[in-house]
Amino acid sequence: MSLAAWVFDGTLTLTLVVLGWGAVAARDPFTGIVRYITFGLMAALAWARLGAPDLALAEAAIGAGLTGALLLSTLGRMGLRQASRRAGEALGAAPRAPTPLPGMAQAWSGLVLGLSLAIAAVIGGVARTLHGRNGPGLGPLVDSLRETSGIDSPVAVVLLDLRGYDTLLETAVLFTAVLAVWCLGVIRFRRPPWPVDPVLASLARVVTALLVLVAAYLLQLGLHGPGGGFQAGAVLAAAGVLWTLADRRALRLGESRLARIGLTLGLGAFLVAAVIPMLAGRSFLTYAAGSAPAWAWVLETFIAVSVGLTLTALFMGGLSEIAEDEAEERAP
Amino acid sequence: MVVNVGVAALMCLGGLFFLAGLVGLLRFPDVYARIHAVTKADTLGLGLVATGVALTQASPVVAVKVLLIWMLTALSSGAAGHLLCRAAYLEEVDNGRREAL
Repeated sequence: MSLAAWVFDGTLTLTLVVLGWGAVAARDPFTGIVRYITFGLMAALAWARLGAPDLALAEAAIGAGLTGALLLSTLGRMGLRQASRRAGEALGAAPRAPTPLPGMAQAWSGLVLGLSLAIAAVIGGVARTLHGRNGPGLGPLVDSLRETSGIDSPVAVVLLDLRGYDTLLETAVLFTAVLAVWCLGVIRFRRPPWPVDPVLASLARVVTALLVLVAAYLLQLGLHGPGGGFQAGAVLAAAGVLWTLADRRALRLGESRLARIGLTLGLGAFLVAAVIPMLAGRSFLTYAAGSAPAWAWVLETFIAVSVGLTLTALFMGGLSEIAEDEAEERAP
Repeated sequence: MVVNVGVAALMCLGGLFFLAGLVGLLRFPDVYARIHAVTKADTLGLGLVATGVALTQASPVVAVKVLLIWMLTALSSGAAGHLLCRAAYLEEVDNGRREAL
C-alpha cells in the first residue's frame, strides 16, 4: 500500500473514532445527530475503501441519509430543537431541555468504546493470522452457488440463495416496524406540519424523477454487480422523504390502498417464492434449477418497492391526512 | 501537456474555493454569511474540480457523467442553501451570534 493510501486510511479511521465518540458524547441532541450523519458518510467511505460498494451504498443511503432524516424529524417533533438552541444559557430551565450525559455515563461509554476497539483489534488480528491476508473465506462456496443458481452477482447469491432465510426475515422486520408505528396511533394535522417551500417543491419534482431512475438502474444492476433491491429501495425512500417534505398530499400515503399493497409486496412475494417449492415436494426456500434468476429479479423488484414505501412511511411516522377543509388553504 | 496544466489549474482553483468556503463557515459572523460561503464552495468549487476531472477522462460518456453529477449537486446545494436560510429566518435565529446555528 502506498504512503498516500496509508495516510488516507489512517485519517479515515481516526475520523470515524472521533466522530463516533462525538456523536455519543454530544451535549445537545442536534449536534449529536449531525455528527452521527457525518459518521455514516465516513463509514460509507470506509466500506468503499474496503472494496464493498454494496455496503457503502447501503450505509450512505440508510445509515447516514434515512436514519439521519428519521432522527432529525423526531427531534423536530419533540420540540427539542428550540430547547437545544437555548441549552447553553437555560439548561434545565426549559421544560424539555436536553439532558447532557452525566459524568458516569460518559465514563461508561468511554470504557465501552475502548473495549469494543480492543475487541475489534483482537478479532482482526486473530482472523488475519488464521486465514492469512488473502484467505479463501467463503469465496469458493459462493462461486459454486453462482454456477448452480445462475445468479451472476455474488452479493445477490448470498442474499437470496445462501442467506435467503435471513433476507426473508429482514423484510418481515421492516414490515412489522411500519405496523408497529401505525399501531401507536395517527396524528391528524389540521395545518401542515411544516411549511412547504416553492423552491423545495420544484427541486423535489426534478430530483424525485431522477431518484426513481437511479433506483431502477441500481435494481437492474443488482443481478450482475453492486446494487440490488435494498439499495434501490433506499434510493426510492429518499425520493419518498423528499416528496413528503415537498408535497402535503404525500401524507395521505397511509390511507392509500395502493401504498398498503406496495408495503406488503416484498414480504408477500418472498413468502410465495418460499412456499411454492414446497408444493413440488422440495423444502422451504429452495428454487428449482434454472428458475433462481427469474425469482431473484421478481423478488428484488418487489423488495425495492416495499423497502422504499416502508422507509417513507417510517419517516412520516404517524402523520396522516390533513383535514379536508384545510387542504385547499394557503401555503404559509 | 497543455491539458495537464489546465486540469491542475482547474483543480487547484476548485480546492481554493473549498478552502475559502471552509474558512467562511468557521469565521463568518452569522448564519446567512456562513451559508453564503459554503454554497460557493459547493457549486463553483465542485464545478471547477468536476471540469478538471472530466478533462482527464478518455471516454466522453464518463466526462458527461461527471458534469451531470456537478449539475445535480449545484441544483441541490442551491436549494439547500435557500432552505437553510429560510429556516433560519423563520425560526428567528439570532443574527450575528456564533452559537446561533
